[in-house]
Amino acid sequence: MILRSWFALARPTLALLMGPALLLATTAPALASDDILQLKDGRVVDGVTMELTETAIVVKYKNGDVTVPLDRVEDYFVGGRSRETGLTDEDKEKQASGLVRFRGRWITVAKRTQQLEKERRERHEALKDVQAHREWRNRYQFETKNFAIQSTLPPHINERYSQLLEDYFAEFKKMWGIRVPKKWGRLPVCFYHDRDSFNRTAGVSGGTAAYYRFVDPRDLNFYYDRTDPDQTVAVMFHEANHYLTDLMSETFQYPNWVNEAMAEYWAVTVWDADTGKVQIGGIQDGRLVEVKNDIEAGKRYGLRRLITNENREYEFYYWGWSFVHFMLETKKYEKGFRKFFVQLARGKGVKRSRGAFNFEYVSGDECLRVFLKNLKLKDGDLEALQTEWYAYIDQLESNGTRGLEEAGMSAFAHNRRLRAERLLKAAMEAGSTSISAHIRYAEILRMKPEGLAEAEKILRRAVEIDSLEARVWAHLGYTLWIGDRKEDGKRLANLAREIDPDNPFLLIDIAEALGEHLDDAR
Amino acid sequence: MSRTRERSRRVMRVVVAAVALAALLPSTARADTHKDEKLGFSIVYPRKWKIMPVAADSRWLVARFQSHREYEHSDAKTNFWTRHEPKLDVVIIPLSAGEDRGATVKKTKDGVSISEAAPYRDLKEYMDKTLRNEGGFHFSAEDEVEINGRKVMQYEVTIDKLARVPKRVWGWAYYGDDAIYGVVADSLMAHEDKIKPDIMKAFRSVKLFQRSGTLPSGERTGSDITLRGFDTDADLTEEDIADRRDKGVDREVSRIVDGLPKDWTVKETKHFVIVSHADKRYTKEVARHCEAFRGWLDKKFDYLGSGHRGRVIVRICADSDERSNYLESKGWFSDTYEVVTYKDRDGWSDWAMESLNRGIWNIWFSDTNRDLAVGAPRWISSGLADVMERASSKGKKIEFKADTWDKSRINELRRDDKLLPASAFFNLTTAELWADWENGRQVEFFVNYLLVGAGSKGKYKSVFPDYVKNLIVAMDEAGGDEEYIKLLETVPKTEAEETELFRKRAEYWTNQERTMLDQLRERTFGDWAVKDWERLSAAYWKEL
Repeated sequence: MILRSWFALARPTLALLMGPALLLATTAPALASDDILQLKDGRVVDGVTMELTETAIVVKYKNGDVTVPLDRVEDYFVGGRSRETGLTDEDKEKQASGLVRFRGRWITVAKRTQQLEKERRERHEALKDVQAHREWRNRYQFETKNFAIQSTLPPHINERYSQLLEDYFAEFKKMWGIRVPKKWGRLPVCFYHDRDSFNRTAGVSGGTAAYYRFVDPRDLNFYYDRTDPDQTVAVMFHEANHYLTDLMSETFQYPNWVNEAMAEYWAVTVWDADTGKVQIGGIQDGRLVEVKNDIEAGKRYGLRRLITNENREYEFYYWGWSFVHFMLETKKYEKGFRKFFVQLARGKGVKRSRGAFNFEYVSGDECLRVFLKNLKLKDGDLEALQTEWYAYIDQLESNGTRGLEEAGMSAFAHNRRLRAERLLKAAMEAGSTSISAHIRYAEILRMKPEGLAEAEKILRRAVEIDSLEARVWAHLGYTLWIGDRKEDGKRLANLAREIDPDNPFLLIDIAEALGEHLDDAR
Repeated sequence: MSRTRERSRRVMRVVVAAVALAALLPSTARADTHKDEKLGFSIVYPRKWKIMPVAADSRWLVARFQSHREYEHSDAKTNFWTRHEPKLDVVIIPLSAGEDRGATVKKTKDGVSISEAAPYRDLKEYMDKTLRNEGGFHFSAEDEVEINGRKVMQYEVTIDKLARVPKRVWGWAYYGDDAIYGVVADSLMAHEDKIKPDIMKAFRSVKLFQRSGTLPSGERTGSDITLRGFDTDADLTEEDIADRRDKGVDREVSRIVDGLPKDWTVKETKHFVIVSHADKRYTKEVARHCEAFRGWLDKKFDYLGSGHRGRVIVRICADSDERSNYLESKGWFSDTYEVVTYKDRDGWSDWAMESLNRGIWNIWFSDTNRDLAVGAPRWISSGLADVMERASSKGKKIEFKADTWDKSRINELRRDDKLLPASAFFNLTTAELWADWENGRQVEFFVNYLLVGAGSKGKYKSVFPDYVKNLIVAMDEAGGDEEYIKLLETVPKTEAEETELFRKRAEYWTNQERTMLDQLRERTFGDWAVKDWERLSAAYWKEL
C-alpha cells in the first residue's frame, strides 16, 4: 500500500530519475536498414527492417511486428520500393511483351527500372531530409502573407497549419479591424515537432504548451502534439490570439484575465478547409470540466474578483473563459462586451498608466468602470450578473466525444473512478480515437478482477488506432503481465521501448505499470 | 523577464571600468596544464583561469576552470544587464553508459531505492540535458573529426530564445577506449570572438593516457538514491536517528578532506565544520557568527523540541560565482547537512549572510523538531525563516534588522490602512497567506515583533512561546491523518457518493488547518477580549 501511494506521489520524480529500462532487459539497437516511412502525423520511422504488403507496412522490431496501415502513411521507402512502384495490370501485360508504359511513354523494362531506381533514391533522400529538418539548425523556413514560419515538421503539416493561421488572422482582422504595424513585419512562428524539442529550443519547461513573446523580438512558439492535433490547433490559436490582441493597440496591454480568457474563447475555432471559413465560440471541453470540478469541490470564482484582478491566476483560463463565453454568446451582452474590449485598448477617457516594458495598463478599478459603462450596468448589478453567469455555466454541456474524453480523464485524475468509467465508456462507444482515453479506460477496467479481458480488448483497439504509439504497447504489456502472461507482457513492454526509447512519459507509464509489482517482477 | 537591480548597476559602473581597462591589455597567450593521472587526461587550460571546486558526489564533472575575467552584456530593449565569467568543464561519460540505460528499483527497509543508470549516452545528450536552464537553445553545428587518431565529436550550441543573455557553448567529445572525455565551455555571444580562440586552443590540447584510477563512478554511471517513506523512521530510536545523522556528516567531511582543492581550508568548531576558500579573516568571522547564531538558537528556542542537533558543514566559496558553480556540480539529491555561502566581495547585498542564516536555521529547526518544522502553520514557519535570515552578530550577541525596502512598503500599507491586526495572523491559513504577497511581508514583521522585537519583552513576551508550545501539544494530540486516509480508502458505491467524497477530500486540508488554528487560538487566547486584541495590535503597529 505504501509503495503504491509512493508511486502516485512520485510521478514527476520518476520521469527524472529513471531511464526507460525499469527492470527490463536492455534492448539491443535495431538492425540498420534503408527502410524508412513517414506517417501522416509527421513521425518518421527508420533504422528498422520493414516489409511492404498490399495494405500495410510491417515494421519488424526485435520484440514483435507492428503493422501500419497504408492509409496512415504519408510516404515510404521499403525494400527498395516507394509509393510509385506499384505495377498496374496494363504494365504487367506490356512488361510481358518487353515494354512498359511509364510517365506516358512506352519504354523498355530496363530503362524504366533505371528511372525508378533514380526516383527511389531521390525519395529515400527526401525522407531522410525530412528527418534531418528536425534539427532546428536545418528547420524549414518560409513566409506566408502575415507570418514567417520556421518549422521542424514535414512540409505537408506546415502547409496546413500556416493556412489555418492565415484564415484565423483574416477572421480576427474582419471582426476587430486590426492591422500590423509596418515595423513589426511578419510574425515569426516557430513550430516544433514535439514537446522535447519545444522545451529545448524555445527555452521552456514544465507544463508550458506554447508562448507568444510580446516584446521585441516578438515570436510565437508551440509544438505539434501528434496524439492530439485538435489540441495543437487550439493552443496555436490561443497564442496567436495574444498576438492579434496586441494589434488592438501597440502600446496597451490588456489585464491578464481579459487576455487569457479571450484567448481561450478564440482557441475553440472550427475551420472549414474548403471554404477557409472560421467559426469561433465553441465549448472548451477541458476548461468546462475544470470549472465544473471547482463547483463540485465547493469553489466558485467571484465576478468582482475576476474583473478587478491585476494579477496572473490560472483560474483566468477556465473561469475567465466561461465568463467571456457567457458574455459573447448571450445576445444582450455581446455588443456591450465587444465594446468593452475595444474601449479598454483604444477608448478615449480610459485611465491608463505606464508600466512594465513601457506598455500602458489599466487598474482593476478602472477595468471594472469601463466594463460597467459599456455593459450599461451599475456596481450594484454585479451580483445579479454573477448569479446569471453561474446559472449559464450550470447549463453548459460538453460537446460529443471530446467532451466525454476530457471529463472522463479529469475524473480519473481526481480519483473519481465511477464517474470516469461511465464517461470513458461512453467515449469509447461514441468512437473515441484518443489514445490517452483508451489507456485511462483500460486502467479503470484493469482495477476490477473481471476487467482484464475488456482492458486488453480496449488496448488492442488502441493499437488499431495507432500501432506505433509506444504507451499503448507498454500498457498492453502490463495488462498481459498481470494476467499471468508474463513473457508476452515483458516482450511488449520492451517493444514499447524499442518504438519510443526516449519518451519520458512512456517511462512513467512503464514505472506505474510494473512499479506496483516490484517484488514480483524482479 | 528579469530586470536589473539598481544597486548592482551602481557597483557595476566600477566593475565595467575595470573590465574595459583589462580589455585594452594584450591577450595573454600562455596557458597552464592540468593533468589528472588517476583519470588519465590532461588539458592545457587558458592562462590565469581559476580551478573551481567540484562537489565530492559529482558523477560526471571531474574538473572545472573559470575565466579570471568578467564579460558583460546589456540589452537596451529589456533593460537587462548581466556579467559572465566563461567556464570550461571536463566531464567523463563511460561508454557503457550508452547501453546502461534506465534504473533498478528495489524495496528496502528504508524505503524505495533507485539505482539510477546513465542519464547521458554521449556528450551531446549531456549538453542537451545540462543546458536546459539557460534558455532556449539548439545545436547550431555538429561535426565528426579525427584528432591524433581519435574520434572527436564537435558540437556548438546557440542559446538564443528566452535566454537572459545570448550565449554560445562548445563541446568536444574525445572517444577513449572505454569512456568519452568531454570538454564543454561557454561564452556570451557578444564576446565570442575574444574567448573562442582560447577555448578552442584548450580543447585541442586534450590528451588521453592510461589512467591509474577508476572512472568517476566505477562500473556504474548513475547514482544510488534512497527515497524514504514518510513513516520509515518510525521504527528507529532517537539514538539511531542521531547516529545516522552524525555518521552522514562524518562521511561527507572525510570525502571533502580527501578531495580538497588547492587553497581551500577545513576548520572545525564546536558545532560546525567550516570548509573555506575565503581568506582567513573572513573564514574566522563566519565561523564566529555561526557559533553565535547556533548558541542563540539553542538558548532562545529550547522549548521547540529535543531532537539531536548535529554538526553542520558550512562551505564558504570565494565568491557568488564559485558558489553557483559548486551547487551546480552537486547531485540533486545530495543528502548532506551542508550550507553553502560565499564571500560577498561586492558588498552590495546581505544575501550571502541571509542564505547562510536560513540554511543553518532550516537544519537546526528540522533537527530539533522535524514534525514541527514540516507541520507548523505556514505563517509560523514562513515568518520564523524570514526573521532568522536577518540575524547578524556582534561577538556572541545576535541582532535582527529589517530590510529597509520592506519597511517602506509596510509604511505604504499603513497609509493605505491595509495593515493586518494581530488577531488576523493567528487565523491565517496557508491559502490566505499566499493569496496576497503582502501578507507574507506582514507575517515577517509580526513574528519579528513577537520574537525579537518589543513584543518579546514585557507584557507579550510569552505570546509566541505559549502559542508554539500549544501547537506542539496540539500536533501530538492530533495524531496521524487517519481521517484523511479513511477518506482515501473509502470505496463509493454510487457516483453521488463519489462526488460527495471528492468534495470532502478537496476541503479536508483547509478544514483541518482551520480547526487547528481555531483550537490553538482558543488554548492560547481563550480569555482574551476584543480589547486585548486591540491592545496587541496597537503595540505591534506602534513598533512598525
